[in-house]
Amino acid sequence: MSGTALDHWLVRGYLSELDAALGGLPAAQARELKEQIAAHLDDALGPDAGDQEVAAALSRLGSPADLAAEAGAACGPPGPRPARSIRRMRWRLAVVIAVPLVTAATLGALRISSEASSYAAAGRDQRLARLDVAVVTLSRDLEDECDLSAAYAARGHARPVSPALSRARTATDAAAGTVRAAAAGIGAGYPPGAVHALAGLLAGIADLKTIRAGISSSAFPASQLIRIYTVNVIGAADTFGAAVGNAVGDTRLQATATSLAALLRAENDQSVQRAILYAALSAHPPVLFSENLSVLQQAATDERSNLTAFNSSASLAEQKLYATTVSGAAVDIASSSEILAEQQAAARPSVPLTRDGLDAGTWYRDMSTTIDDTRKVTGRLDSQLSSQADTARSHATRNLLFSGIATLILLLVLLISAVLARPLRR
Amino acid sequence: MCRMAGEGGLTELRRGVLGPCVLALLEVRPRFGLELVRDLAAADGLLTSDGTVYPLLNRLRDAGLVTSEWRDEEGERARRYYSITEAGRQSLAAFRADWARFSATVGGVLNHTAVRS
Repeated sequence: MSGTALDHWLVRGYLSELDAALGGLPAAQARELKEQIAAHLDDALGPDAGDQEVAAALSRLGSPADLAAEAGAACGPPGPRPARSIRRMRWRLAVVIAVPLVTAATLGALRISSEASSYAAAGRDQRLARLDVAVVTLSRDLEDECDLSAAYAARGHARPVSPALSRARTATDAAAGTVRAAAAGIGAGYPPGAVHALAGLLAGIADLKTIRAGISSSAFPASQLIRIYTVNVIGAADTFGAAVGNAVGDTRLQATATSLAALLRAENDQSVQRAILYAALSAHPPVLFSENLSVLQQAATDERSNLTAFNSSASLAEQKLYATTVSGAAVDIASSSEILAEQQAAARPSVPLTRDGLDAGTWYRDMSTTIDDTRKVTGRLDSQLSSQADTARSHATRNLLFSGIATLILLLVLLISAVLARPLRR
Repeated sequence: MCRMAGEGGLTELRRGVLGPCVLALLEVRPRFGLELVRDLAAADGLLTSDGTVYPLLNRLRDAGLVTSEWRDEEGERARRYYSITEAGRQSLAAFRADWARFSATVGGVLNHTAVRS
């Protein structure tokens, strides 16, 4: 296209200036206008137009900026379209608002869900601890019932059950009711070991009626009766106690539950010793048969090993508490009576025990003192277990509440800032 | 003080009447760009700058009052010719009626001979 006015340097300058000025318009519109202006100049100016003529034509045409403004006024929706930089800034502002909101919501949700699961775990621990306390009480009542039942069997079953045994059975039933109530709801979500041990214990409790009926109707030997109680019911309680020690999540609870379970087993062993010798001394004549002697010796050995287990998991204060609580004249006398009986029975098996210093009532009383002293310590551990579980639960509750409220406040603050930032986005 | 009809006021006035004037010229016969600009410029004081005619033409076309087509007159190069549409004629007729009344009213007020009713 040589030889037209469009090649004039002034025209070229004007058109390129116009090109730049129309940058804000849609491309098609800008192209059309440029084409119209070029055609206008081409028509208006001959190929040989001089600088002055060209300048005059351009001057009549108006400045590129005015032309662009005139074209822009007609263009599209009212109000100027936001420049790209403003759009970008709006987008950035949205990101600045959205990112902290989403982050806070996510972190808050994670925190709350972790606190909620701690809270639920503390709730489970608390229920297991309460159940364990009920089981310890049941275990005591079972020991008494077992020992008195053994004496009843040793006396030949004939007489009506003693008031002491009746009372012991009533106490056992009450404790069993408490355990069943505390066990309700413990199942799904709890550690399987504890759930399984609890099922065993509840089955043992259900067996009690049959065991009692058997004591009255048939001639269970005392030693067999003790074994039935120990294996079927008391052993199940011990298994549950040990399972709680493994099941609870809190480490302090774990230590207490484990010490308690060990000491409860030692108490059971003491009870077996009391029962065996009480039954032997209650018989007419008093005799400690060799199979019962071996049960007695086994129980004494088990007691020592369970006390060792207690010492290995108990704190120094708890160990000291045991040493100072389970002591005194009665404890010493019971211990020496047992040794005396063992010696006599070992020296002359199946021969009646000499009455020398060995009397059923005195033995039962003295050994009961030892057992009661031990129960003082298990009782202390019981209340410690309860209070630790309660403390852990209330901590978990507080933590859950705190993280919930903190997250809420954070989200609120961010929402408020988002609302405040809205006008900036316009 | 409100701005009187100085250069700014006159520009606004021109902007308002330029469209009908373009339609009136095209009503006579189709014209190409430069032709149209020259005829408008011939009427004293109607155009401040030649360029403004083109954006105006595009607006009228977008409104459906004007069409454009390429024509090849013998011996000349191809040019874009603008012609009035039926809608453009109607719009022009309406403006003529409005303008007659409007200019009479404005003239009357300006000459202090407004109808006192």
